[in-house]
Amino acid sequence: MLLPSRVTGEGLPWIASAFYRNAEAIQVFVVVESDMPRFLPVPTVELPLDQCVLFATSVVRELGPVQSLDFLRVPDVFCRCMNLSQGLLDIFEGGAREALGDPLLGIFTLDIPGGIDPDPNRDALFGAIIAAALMGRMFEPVYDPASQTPFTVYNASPDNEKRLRQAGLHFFASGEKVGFHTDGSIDEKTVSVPEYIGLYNLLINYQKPGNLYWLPFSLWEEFDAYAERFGWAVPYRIELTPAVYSNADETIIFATRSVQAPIFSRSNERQAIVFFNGRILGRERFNGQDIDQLVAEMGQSISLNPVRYCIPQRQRRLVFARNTCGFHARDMLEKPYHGCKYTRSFIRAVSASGAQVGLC
Amino acid sequence: MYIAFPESELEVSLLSNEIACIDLDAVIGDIDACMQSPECTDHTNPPSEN
Repeated sequence: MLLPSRVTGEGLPWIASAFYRNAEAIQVFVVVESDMPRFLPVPTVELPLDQCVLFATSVVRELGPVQSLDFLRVPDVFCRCMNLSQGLLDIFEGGAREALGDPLLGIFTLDIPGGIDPDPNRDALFGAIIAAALMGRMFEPVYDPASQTPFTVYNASPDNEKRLRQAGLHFFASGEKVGFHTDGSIDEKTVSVPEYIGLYNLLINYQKPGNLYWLPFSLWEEFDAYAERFGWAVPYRIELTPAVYSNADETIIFATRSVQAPIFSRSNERQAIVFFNGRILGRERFNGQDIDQLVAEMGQSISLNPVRYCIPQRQRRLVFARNTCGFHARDMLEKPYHGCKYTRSFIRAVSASGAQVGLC
Repeated sequence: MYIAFPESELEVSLLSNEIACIDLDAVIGDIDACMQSPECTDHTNPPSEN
């Protein structure tokens, strides 16, 4: 497949200029690597600090002193925070929607500056509130039933990893590379691929946090070949990574879920949907061999694709991605700071909109 | 527009030293946090087992 001219070397200025049109505070990260694959820049906007301070002041004035993120559990409070974020949204929404709607791109990044509040805890808190509010403005998020918040908080720590290991559960440690996948969503009955996801890094206690990678389906050269090999709308048994929650008093383990879903399918609008997630079980459709080899080959094909988007993982960085049009992956996080209780904390929100691909 | 990759270890180190002052438990409050990051978000009602 020939690459569209917009993403060849000549195309990079096009991407940059397109986003300059939509926001003043734009930054484009140009990534130059000698080895394949070639890294493409992700359009990024840094929110102005004064606007973030104005938002924080408005939240306190309208809702009273804010102690922690759990106040967003109340739907009316979350709604009011979203309304107060209008000024911030206006800064980047045009460029973000253009990026997310572009099948050759599908990703957009927002940096939330530090210094909103002189107190480090409140500074981190207001950054997370802004991220949650803006995710709620960009898409309607699903409420997490365990935390009852419109997002899920993920905390990695040596202690948590020890508890997961003792429970014999598979998990992705922060110091482990996470390969290309699409995010999924399940409820009691259905398996879906959310249309949008938002990922916000609240805390990264690593000296080398590495990068987040993104490959739109439209740029994956072997998309058609692997769709044929797995088959369109051919269901496979997939074992999902179990969710494990914790609070001060207890650890709640969701049972390991096994679902039936096709890897490649089409939405009602005939858009290609890929559910590449969890551990795919069973046998290949054509030759009856264990599916593991084919899954590994597909992961390698995505990894070896000549181009991909790349954005460094950083604290206070919010990534929006259109999950129904691409795969994402991340580097392992290296060189942790010792003596910290937590090694990483991030917030993920997924959209209620998306494509249903199977039944539980 | 500027070239911002790769970030130097010094730059990341400075950022991390700032953020390491955060009391994450206080920031999150009593939200049940997930201990790992499954790629599939489970929106079924949580079981009550410990």
